[in-house]
Amino acid sequence: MLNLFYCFLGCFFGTLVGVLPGLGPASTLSILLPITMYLNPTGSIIMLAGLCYGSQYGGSTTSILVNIPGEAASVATTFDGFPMTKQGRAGEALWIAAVGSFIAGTLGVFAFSIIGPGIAKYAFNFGPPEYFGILFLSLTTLVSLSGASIIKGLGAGLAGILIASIGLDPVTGITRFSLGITAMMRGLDLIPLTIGIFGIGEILVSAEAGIVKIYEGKLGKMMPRGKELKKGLWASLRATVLGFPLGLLPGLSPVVSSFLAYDVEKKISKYPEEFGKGVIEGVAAPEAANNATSQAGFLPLMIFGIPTNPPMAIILAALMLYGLQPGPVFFVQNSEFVWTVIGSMYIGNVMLLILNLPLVGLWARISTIPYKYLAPIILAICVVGAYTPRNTMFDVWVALGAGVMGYIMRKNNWPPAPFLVGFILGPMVEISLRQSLSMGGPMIFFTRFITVAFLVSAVILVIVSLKFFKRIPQEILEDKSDS
Amino acid sequence: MEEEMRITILIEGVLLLALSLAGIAEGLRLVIYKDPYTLYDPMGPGLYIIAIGIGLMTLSVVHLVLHYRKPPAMEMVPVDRKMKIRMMSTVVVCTIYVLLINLIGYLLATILFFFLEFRVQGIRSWPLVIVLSLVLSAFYYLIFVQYCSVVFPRGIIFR
Repeated sequence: MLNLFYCFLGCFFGTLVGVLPGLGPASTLSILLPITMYLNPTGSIIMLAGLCYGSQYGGSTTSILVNIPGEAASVATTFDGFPMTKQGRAGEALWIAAVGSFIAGTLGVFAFSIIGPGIAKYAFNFGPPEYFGILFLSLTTLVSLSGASIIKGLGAGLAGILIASIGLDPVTGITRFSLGITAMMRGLDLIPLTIGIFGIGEILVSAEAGIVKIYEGKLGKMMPRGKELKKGLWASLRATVLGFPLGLLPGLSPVVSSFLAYDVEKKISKYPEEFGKGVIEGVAAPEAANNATSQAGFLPLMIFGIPTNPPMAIILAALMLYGLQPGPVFFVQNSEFVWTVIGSMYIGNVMLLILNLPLVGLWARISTIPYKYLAPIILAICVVGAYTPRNTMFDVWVALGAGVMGYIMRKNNWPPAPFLVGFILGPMVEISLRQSLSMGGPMIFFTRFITVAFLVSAVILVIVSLKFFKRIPQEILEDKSDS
Repeated sequence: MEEEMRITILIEGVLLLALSLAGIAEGLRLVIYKDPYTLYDPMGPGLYIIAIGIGLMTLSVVHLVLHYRKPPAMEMVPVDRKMKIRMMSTVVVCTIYVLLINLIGYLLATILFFFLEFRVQGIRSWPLVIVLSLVLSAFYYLIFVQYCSVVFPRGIIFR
């Protein structure tokens, strides 16, 4: 009973903090880790797990309502979530995000408990060349996120990769672009950049446009019906199938899977030109994918002790603090603990659905508050959000600078999303590339079947995307770039 | 209008070129510098940056060549001067806020930030601005500083 209470607390606070821009799963877990240390090991991990997937749920709310991703994995949700809010369909977007997350979360836990150690065995065979292949494939999203100008999209993506290389070299530890400044040696953090480009940038554009409210008109109905409901649910299922296996691979965070799921939905859609303007699949897919990936991350964590993303690393730290060493025998030696945590995940997903659906209306009503009241409140949260991941004012300056950059990019039709994709994927690509080259030179990419398959798929995807873009009228692409 | 677009494209191209050149220069520095503690790293920390820098340089040149002569048609939304001032004032207020956090600490700086920003956003009622600034700052302080234990700078004045 006590564990259920901890599960509820984790889910509740996770959702609450996920709603606040900038306070994503990693910062939430790290802030609350000292508090959970007062609980028993099972209760603590249950609460931390609840916080982890609760914040994933909550992160979608601000993405949809105010175009500010609560955490990086919700960036893709803004592409169609915010346009839906502008059209007066905030309720539908929030509903499908909650249900999509529930579907992905529940199916994710089910797959986790059924296939468990068996599937992880295959993921363990993935080496750096395979990771390079899959990351290279992920980089093809730069093309589809470019909007009107592929040159601008690729330029923004490459600029993002270059900016990401500021700080310590991930392999040798040599400083790059640090200019002798201590703060620069630590590199730029993703959260302040995301908050700046998407949050502060959007507020500046809105301030200039003289927006009175985020959108005028009614909130619209909560539950989508008929074809819309069907499309949203199918997109959630497809994204779950895509997101879960990706979550088993270390380094592929929910951010990557959410972008991939969005890209896949756009590519298979009969009306790809509508993406970015407020289609329900554009909200359902990234939300379901990031939840499935997040849930799947528990598998490599418990079986191999591999944290697939920052929140998992904090949960690993918590396990270590309790003297629990994850590994192949972890399921056998601590079976009671493991199955209690898995059981809590099923219940946690139901709790989150109950918490989120009745509260959907409450969150949606935030958007009826006049913008002149909302803008300073969001800006102050952005400052806190930028500061908390590393407790340094340098990051707040970065967020402010990124905000001005985000504003300039929007005003001049430079798509901000490719910049962020480059920033996230750039360092991962570099690490896997250099590790692969150390293993067997450039030929290693052509001698491993999975790597070749990923690289060939990437090339095919780029060609298909380029041909596809030629078919879309220029004015539609410019609209997409704006959004 | 076309001349304005040309200037914008020129600035964009030059900025991207500068970024790419900085990348190439830093990459070259790292290629020349040999870290005595690295055992085997065929690519080293510099080549990747050089490759990205060259890619970015190519793109910026293509951008300049393609778009400078014939700027793409862009719909320019006319901006009200008052709104432009509001946007710029927001940037200034945020900058002052970040500076003040270091100087007078989080709580006082937040009160002042809310006070200024609500005025910039167009709330005319002084009592409302004062009440909102005090209540919201207290709320943020309780949530983040007291509950979440976020340690903000105390401010050099009150140290």
